[in-house]
Amino acid sequence: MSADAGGSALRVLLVDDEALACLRMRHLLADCLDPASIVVGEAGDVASALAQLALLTTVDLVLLDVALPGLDGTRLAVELARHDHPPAVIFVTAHAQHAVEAFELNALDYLTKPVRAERLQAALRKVVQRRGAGGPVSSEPPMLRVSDRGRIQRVPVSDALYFKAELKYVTLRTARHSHVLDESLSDLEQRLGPGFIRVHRNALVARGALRALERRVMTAEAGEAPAETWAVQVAPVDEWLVVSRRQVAAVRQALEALGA
Amino acid sequence: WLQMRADKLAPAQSAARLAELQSRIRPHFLFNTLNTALSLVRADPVRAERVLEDLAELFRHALDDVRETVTLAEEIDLAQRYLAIEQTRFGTRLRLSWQLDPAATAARLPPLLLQPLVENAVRHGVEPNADGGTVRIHTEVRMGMAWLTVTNSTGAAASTPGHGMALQNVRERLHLMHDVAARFEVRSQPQQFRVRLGVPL
Repeated sequence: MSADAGGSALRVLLVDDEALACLRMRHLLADCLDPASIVVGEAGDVASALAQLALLTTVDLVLLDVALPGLDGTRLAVELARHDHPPAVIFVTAHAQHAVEAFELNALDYLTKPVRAERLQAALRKVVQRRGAGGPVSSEPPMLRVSDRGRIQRVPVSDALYFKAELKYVTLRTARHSHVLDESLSDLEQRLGPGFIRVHRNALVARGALRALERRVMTAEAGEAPAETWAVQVAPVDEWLVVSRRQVAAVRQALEALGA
Repeated sequence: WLQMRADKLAPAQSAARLAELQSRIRPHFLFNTLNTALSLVRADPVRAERVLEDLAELFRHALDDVRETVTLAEEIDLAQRYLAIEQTRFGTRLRLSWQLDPAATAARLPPLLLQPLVENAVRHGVEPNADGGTVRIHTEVRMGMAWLTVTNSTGAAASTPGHGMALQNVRERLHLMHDVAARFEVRSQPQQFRVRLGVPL
């Protein structure tokens, strides 16, 4: 695995309940080369935006519609403002009357739909400036290289739910697939940083994917007899991983920090 | 008495016209529709064209139609164009049900009476809910009257302000045209919101 040129691209989460509005924004973002950006997620309401933000290790910018079903977009901005290193928030809406509120919520910018390419570019530049001034920096390579029966594939780090050391290799679990990696768990742990937590000698889990910690009857290592042990639930795949006794306190602390 | 009634009607009529203009051209509807069309330009140009054609037709009636009355058939046609745009925006979140009685089509209505009703139905019944909602448009002839009913399901979200203004405006315009012969009922229930109007045939 190596550093990727996309490492400096802005990592963007789109929040809009209209699929076509998201599509339009994807087109505009893809057209804008300076600064470059990648869409790391899409959400149709506040709850699913928060769930995605918990899963994604780095998000530089949230492009946020105000009129959403359920809680409106300003509520997400309020919630994000409480985070330690919140992503930049730019409101995108057809209603000009929310502008004042947006600035009260510390939104970096306010775009009206339909958004012009030049206007979006100016807004993205503000995000880059702010990032340069000590905001969240995504200097880590955002991609993992996996091999699948001879085929090489790149998987965004943000898709990783957990890594598990098997007998001879490490598997990477994403929401949809399992991949095989040729990097050791301890190298991964060092490289990926605090977004991931070691729950056992054989497993490294994305903090945002942690859901529950409880005692269960499980097989800790292949070949061992099932026994009652601490285990952690990983979302959204709802799989359970054994937690070693030494790591129970750290996992509990991580869950508490997530507001569990 | 007739003179007195005419004097009273004139200012009410112009005020109603203004309110009606504002209620039917909500700026965000125009901008959202243009945004929808822009999204489709690359992905599906034919659908983009259709959205813009529907939008043009709506605005022709809203801005450029000076007639005092139109037929129910014309109103239905315009509502269909409006809802086609919203269907493109909301996809499967907007579920439509039409039950139209051909015998009612000749009934006369003030222009753009139905459009604010279906717009309200989408705004309050579909937009606030992640799983969307159902809008039902029903016409029938009963007791020598043409009846038009617009029903929308109401989800978890409470009705937001704005419903009253548009409805008040529709009621006023209906009575200005048909006087006491017109019927207008609003029924708000826990699961659905219904507006029914009746005009003589």
